[in-house]
Amino acid sequence: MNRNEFLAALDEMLELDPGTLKGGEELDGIDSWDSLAVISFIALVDEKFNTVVAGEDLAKAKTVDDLLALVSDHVTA
Amino acid sequence: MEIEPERLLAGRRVLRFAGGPGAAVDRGPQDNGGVPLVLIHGFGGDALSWQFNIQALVKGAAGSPGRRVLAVDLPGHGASTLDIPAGLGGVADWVVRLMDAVGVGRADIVGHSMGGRVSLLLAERHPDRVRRMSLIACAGVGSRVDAGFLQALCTLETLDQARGLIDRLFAGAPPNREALARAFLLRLADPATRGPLTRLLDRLVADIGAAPSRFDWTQPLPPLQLIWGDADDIVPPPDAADLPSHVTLHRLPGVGHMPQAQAATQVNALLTEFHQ
Repeated sequence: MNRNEFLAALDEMLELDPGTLKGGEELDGIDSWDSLAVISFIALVDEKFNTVVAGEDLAKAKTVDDLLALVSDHVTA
Repeated sequence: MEIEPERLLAGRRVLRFAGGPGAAVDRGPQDNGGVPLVLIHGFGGDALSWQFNIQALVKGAAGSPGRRVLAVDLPGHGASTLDIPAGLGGVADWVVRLMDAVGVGRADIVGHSMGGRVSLLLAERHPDRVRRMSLIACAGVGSRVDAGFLQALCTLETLDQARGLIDRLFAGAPPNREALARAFLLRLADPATRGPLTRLLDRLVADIGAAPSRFDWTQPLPPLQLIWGDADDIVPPPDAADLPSHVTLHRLPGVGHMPQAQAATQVNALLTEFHQ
């Protein structure tokens, strides 16, 4: 999976229009990024890459790029 | 301030039953024969308090077929009824009715703080429904409970107050402090939930007050483990010397009252190992 495909999956998960997320967006500025979205994000990563993101790492994420960094081993540029 | 009903219901199942409605986040396979795991949050939390745990527990150990995980909203919380049962024993009975409604029979139970006390009462009143139990920062097993902190949750008005409460919960400022504080304020300053929460707090304080100062570990209990943050000053960890040898206490250094969030990886590993 490449970066744009992962961003598209995040758009869909967060019920945003396709192409909305570019990477630099702050998570605090995304209305639909909440605890339920966190659960969905962890499940999405597990489904796509068979790995469970650590909550401690996720708690530190400030931007969409920070989320991408958590899966950098699996997402190509 | 109110939470949009659609957002509150998203991702949850809402069940109708006597004393309901009851809501829960219900994830994982339901038909593979495994024992489901029921997660019971603490006072002022909700099913999403387990946001860093649910998927890891659904997945389980490497090679595991996965399991069903049911994170409940207790009465007065999340999308569940605002009618508070009489007494914490009534809350435990209510959880069993929710389990009935979603088709969960015998289960493993994980309870946090007040949810731990509810879990103990559930095991006492419905022993056939509990296989094993993990209690995280559990109220009512001997150490004091800071009722003043719980009262402050019920009177929360400002974001700054929310930040202060978050810092106490985590024994320091967590990296996602602002998001947590905003969610806290949104949830706890909702006028619709404030009355029920206050009534539930009264039940909790009465229950803890009526309990003997030393927990009776000789009573029949399912196999259980205790998990505690070493820096928890809301419900401080018990003295290991007071515990029977068959109860393991895992103390997590530097962790406050929210081990399942603050030390999610370690707690998930402890739960996965114990609840195989």
